Amino acid sequence: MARWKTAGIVLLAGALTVTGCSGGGDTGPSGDAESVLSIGSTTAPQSWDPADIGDANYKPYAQASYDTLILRQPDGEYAPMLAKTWSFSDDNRTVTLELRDDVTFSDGEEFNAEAVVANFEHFSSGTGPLSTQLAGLESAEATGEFTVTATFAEPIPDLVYNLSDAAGRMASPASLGSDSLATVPVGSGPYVMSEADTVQGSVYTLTAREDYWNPELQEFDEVEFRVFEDESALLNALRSGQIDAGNLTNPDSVQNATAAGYTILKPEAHISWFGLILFDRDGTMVPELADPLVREALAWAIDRETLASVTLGIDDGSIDTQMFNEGSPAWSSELAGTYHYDVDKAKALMAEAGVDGFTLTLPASGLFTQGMMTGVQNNLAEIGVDVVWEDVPAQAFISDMLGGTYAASVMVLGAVPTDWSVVQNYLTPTSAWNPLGTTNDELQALIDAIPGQNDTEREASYRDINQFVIDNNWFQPWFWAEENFAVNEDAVQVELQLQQNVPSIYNYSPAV
Amino acid sequence: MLTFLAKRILSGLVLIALIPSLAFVLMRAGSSDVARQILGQTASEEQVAARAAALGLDRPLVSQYLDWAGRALRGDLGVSWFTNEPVAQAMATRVPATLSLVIVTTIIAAVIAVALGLAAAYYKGWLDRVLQVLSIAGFALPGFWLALMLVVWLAIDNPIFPATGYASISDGIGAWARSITLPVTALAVGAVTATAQQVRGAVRDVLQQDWVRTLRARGISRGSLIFKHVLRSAGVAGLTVLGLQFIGLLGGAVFVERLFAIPGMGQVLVTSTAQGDLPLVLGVVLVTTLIVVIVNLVIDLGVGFFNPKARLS
Amino acid sequence: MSSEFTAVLPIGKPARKRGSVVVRALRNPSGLVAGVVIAIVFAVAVLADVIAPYGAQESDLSRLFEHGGDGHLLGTDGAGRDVLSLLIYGARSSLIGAAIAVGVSMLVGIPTGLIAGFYGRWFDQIGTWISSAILALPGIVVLLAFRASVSTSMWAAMLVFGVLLAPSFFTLVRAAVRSVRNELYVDAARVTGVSDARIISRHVLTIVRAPIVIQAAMVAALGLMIQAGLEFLGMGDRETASWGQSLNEGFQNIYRADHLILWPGLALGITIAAFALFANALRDALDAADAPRTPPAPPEASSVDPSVVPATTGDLVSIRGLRIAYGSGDDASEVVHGIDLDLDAGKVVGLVGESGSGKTQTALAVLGLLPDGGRITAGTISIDGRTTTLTQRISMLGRDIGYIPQEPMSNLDPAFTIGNQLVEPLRRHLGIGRREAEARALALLERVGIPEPERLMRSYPHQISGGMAQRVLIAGAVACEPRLLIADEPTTALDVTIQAEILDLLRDLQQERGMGLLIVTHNFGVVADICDEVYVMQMGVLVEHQAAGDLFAEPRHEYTRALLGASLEGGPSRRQREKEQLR
Repeated sequence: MARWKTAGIVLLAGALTVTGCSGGGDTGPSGDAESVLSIGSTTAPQSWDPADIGDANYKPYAQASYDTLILRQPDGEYAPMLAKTWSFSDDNRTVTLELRDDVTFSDGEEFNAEAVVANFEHFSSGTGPLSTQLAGLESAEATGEFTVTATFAEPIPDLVYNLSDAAGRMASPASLGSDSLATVPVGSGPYVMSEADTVQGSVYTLTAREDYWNPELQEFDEVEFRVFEDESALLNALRSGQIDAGNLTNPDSVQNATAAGYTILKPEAHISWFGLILFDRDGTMVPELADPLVREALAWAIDRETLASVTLGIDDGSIDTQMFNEGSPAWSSELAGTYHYDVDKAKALMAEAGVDGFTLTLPASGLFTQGMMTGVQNNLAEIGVDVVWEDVPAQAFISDMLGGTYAASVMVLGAVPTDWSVVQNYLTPTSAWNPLGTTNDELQALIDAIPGQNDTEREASYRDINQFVIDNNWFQPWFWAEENFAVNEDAVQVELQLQQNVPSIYNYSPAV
Repeated sequence: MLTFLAKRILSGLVLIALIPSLAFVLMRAGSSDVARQILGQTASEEQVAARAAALGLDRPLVSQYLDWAGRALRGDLGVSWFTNEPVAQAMATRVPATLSLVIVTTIIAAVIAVALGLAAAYYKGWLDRVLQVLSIAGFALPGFWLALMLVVWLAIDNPIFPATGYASISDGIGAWARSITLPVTALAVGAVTATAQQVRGAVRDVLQQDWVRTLRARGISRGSLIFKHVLRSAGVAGLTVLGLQFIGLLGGAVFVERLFAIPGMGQVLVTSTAQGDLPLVLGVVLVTTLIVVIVNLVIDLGVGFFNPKARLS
Repeated sequence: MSSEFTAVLPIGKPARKRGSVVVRALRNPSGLVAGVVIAIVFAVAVLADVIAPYGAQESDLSRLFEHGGDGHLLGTDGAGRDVLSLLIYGARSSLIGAAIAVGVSMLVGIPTGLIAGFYGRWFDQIGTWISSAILALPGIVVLLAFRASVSTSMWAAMLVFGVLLAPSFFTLVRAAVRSVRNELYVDAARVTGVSDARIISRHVLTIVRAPIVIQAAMVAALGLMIQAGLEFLGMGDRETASWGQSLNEGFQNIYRADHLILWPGLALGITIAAFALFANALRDALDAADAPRTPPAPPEASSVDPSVVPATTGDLVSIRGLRIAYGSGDDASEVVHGIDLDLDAGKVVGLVGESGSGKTQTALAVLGLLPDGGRITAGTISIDGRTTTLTQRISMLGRDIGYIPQEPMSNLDPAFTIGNQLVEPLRRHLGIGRREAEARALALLERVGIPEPERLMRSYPHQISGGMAQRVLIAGAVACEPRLLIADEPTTALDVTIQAEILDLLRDLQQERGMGLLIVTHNFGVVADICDEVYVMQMGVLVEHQAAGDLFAEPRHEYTRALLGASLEGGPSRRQREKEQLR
């Protein structure tokens, strides 16, 4: 009688292998010629409210569901999107937008000037990570059914960029303020979320919207975002064909993907730098850090080449000290070598500052490699700085840092997309990346002047700001990080977007 | 039987009330600035304070808990502080994935383990020794290590099964079965070997009972002896073991879900405890306790079925 | 569970000195290997500083993720640290974690188990409820919640894990205390002036030593596993080398660092297996100690009276030169040393002797139902004049041969109704339908003197009395009209008042159906009541064989005489003896 049990097991195993015969592939609903774009990521959107969606890795989520007023093309040029034209007043404080009249949101609401006004107000009064993009909004008015005028306290140097980014995303006015907007986007974008096939934090499925006003931007029937706990799972998914593309940060993953025959796309201009952020320039938590000599000593103590090789597996160096990348007028190749590995110099500076040594607690992210952390620890130990790595859960890493818990931290920060955004995000007293709110009169004067300057003047200002940061070591870039975007070119083709670490959603197309 | 069940249900209700309360106290006692974490980088102090007040974080612990408990009783488990998703909905989408894994693994383990354990206890000899060795091997093999090997071998090097993800039954039985094959295999190895050992022990104990010999003396068929009588008596121990396995698999699922990127309760638990997403953690703890209580009740019912004495006590 | 402990209680004098369970476990080959592995791991952990080729945190950033060779036997990890050294230091952190788990669970579980078992009542109730509640939870859920809220230290997590496993020790110790406590109250008369606590602690410690060690080994194995699991989830202490963390790094860098999955995985697996195997070996050794003690060596063959050997062969059952032994090889011990016995059809033969004489073994041998490990090593058993094999005798069970066991309550399957157990064999042997089989069963029950047969059919064994149960067993034995009935002490376990009734029943049935009856007993009253012939066995050999009446009148062997003399029946009363003494 035990025989029927074994037979049953054999049958079950057989059934499973039979169903398993077709191998990996896109998990779209069984239909013919259904094109699905599947993108993998290790970051899940914290909210689908367009005012709360972050930068970099979060962008594709927003782009799938929301249109922006202006479209930024892969080469960085601007084209009309929801706004047909835009023009500035003479003092650059007011912008006037002429809008399309043939767009509706996925809930049926009409897109018009009132909608834009509602969105602007929602965005600027919100607490989203990019809310400074409409900083100083004084008023927004619908001056016609499809005309909007917005006035700012001071000119925003990169307003056009902002309107092609977070500030320009338009959600249905009926949805603004409702709780569900945080989990289900309601926009006018090319894809609409299919709630039945979505598991928050894990898989987001969006299907092509039927009467989307710009079919050229809508290359797929379905877009799927898959979120992974760690990059190894993401890589496994890529290799077994479940996702078509994904951003890779671990050199092991990059080697793995390359060996497996996947294409790795790298942007021409560097996008982010790896280095040390010294939040506590006023010395409130670690008094020694108040002394610029001490901060400079840290810059000389780090063996940048070895760290670059260890962290990123890169040998070509890309050593630098600047917060602005090669695309910026502020950048200079001479300044790239301002600091390099010189332990003696570092020790001398410490001695000059009269500091024997101190303890520095740095938050450790699961994304840091052990090699990098050991390297930093050893390097700084040589000059008497005792590094203590404190484990922080990966999801809380950034928020803990920005909450002002730490005096310093190792981090990968973006040098994009515009110089003004760099200044806004890092260097002002209210910048997110200045949690301790340190100020400096000289720097602030430079910053305050920029909105009122013309382009040439601004370039000079940025150069001065660059020099200031290098001299004062508020931020201490070590080397440029490499972006590695892995693509399965048998499934999709994609074009990188200038100054972005991941491509815009519009840049994908099915493989021919 | 009724009083027996009533007592067990009462006991279960106490558990359901107690465990989440404990979790609540623990989580609140240790959590850091959650409001800041939620609002993130650019929020001002006032905004953070306002959000904290909105979340009720400034009120005394007891009133916060009573709030949550009151709403929970009405089915409102709150909203995740980080993904803004209603907790009940989050549970509803994730429980099926985890339960798929655990239930299928338990069934497979039950079938195979009973067969193996029975055979080992009855035939003894080399089969018994082999089972012992297999048990140890299965037990010692860390489940996640085995899962790793499976992914490399059967999903990447030979793409037979998907390396990650979960397809629900509504997507088709075939897709569902394929998506859970590797994780279930990884889980089942440990479950089968552990259960088989216990079944073997239980059957061995039963086989040594006097009445087995007497039934033999009555000349009943070997099949009836084993499958009707012995199995029934070993059923109590076997069922209890299966119940424990089921609960243990809920824990094992945590690792497997991470490796295979399966959106289940285990995965949510890891992320939400790391972030301090209290409503979500409480949701998971509550659902887990519920499952545990239900499983125990089912086991008790089964024991009653197998053991007539228990029905009347 | 309690029976496990009463069996191990030192009752009476042990047959021979028992070696420690641990030593015995090490004799077992798997136990030995496991023990050696554990010892090695301990040694490695203790001597880590001495034997590790590199420091645990010693890193060379120019040599990342190397596979084995060139100064690093097992390669390097992502920080250029030597994998072999990581494994060695990892052994230390793994064992420390396991030790914390084991220590805490014992510290919490053992004292609470002692108190709960000893004082009972509300502490016991609460303790048991808490214990089952803790066991009910999936540990990882608790550990993760704890880690997020209280402490990220791995040692703290292992402490909590120890608490989670304390119920296993609690249950163990509590059951042991309770069983000893019961024994104690039975022997209350003998205990004067010695405190309960002292006796309990002395007794309890003796019984509970081995199970505690087994449980500790299992907890250690589980601790190792959960610790590695947590580290694999990324929750280990960064500053401490550990196997789980190496595994995690291997997983994150699976392309370059598969050796980080292999070696730590092996180290982990082997160590866990060693603990589990050792626990297993301990358990086997414990079971062996519980097993029925092998009887002493066969005595000098006392002169056997030729009258012992039957003159003619019995026409129903005929046993010649039967030898029964247990165990194999060097451990083999013989319990029946060549006996001859005959039973004629329709006659009643009694097989008499003390416990351990081999009489039950003989009866079971005829049935073909010797317990595990026992077998017939020599001799023949013939039925109806033809030599039979074991298989043949087994095929006759229930049909041509019936068996009545000694202890009625433990010989009925507790999970099925009486009716079910009666009907099934009837249907099998007679090929009749359920309805008819039920009717027959009812008739049988009536015949054996059961007042309400229908109700009894629907009852479960635990709902009826011993006397009723024995009647049921008798009914079952004679259900298919066997020609041979073998009864093993059928009245010994019954109340005195019932014994006579059952004997009467047996005799009536035997005469009614003309069955040959072999009745095993140590009670001469039974012999006198029912037997035609008597065989007397002593320590595995036959010492006497006579017709019943002759035996009582003129017992020939000194042993028989001693047995008869020892019987209380018919002996002088105390008053009479006193009178004798005064005279």
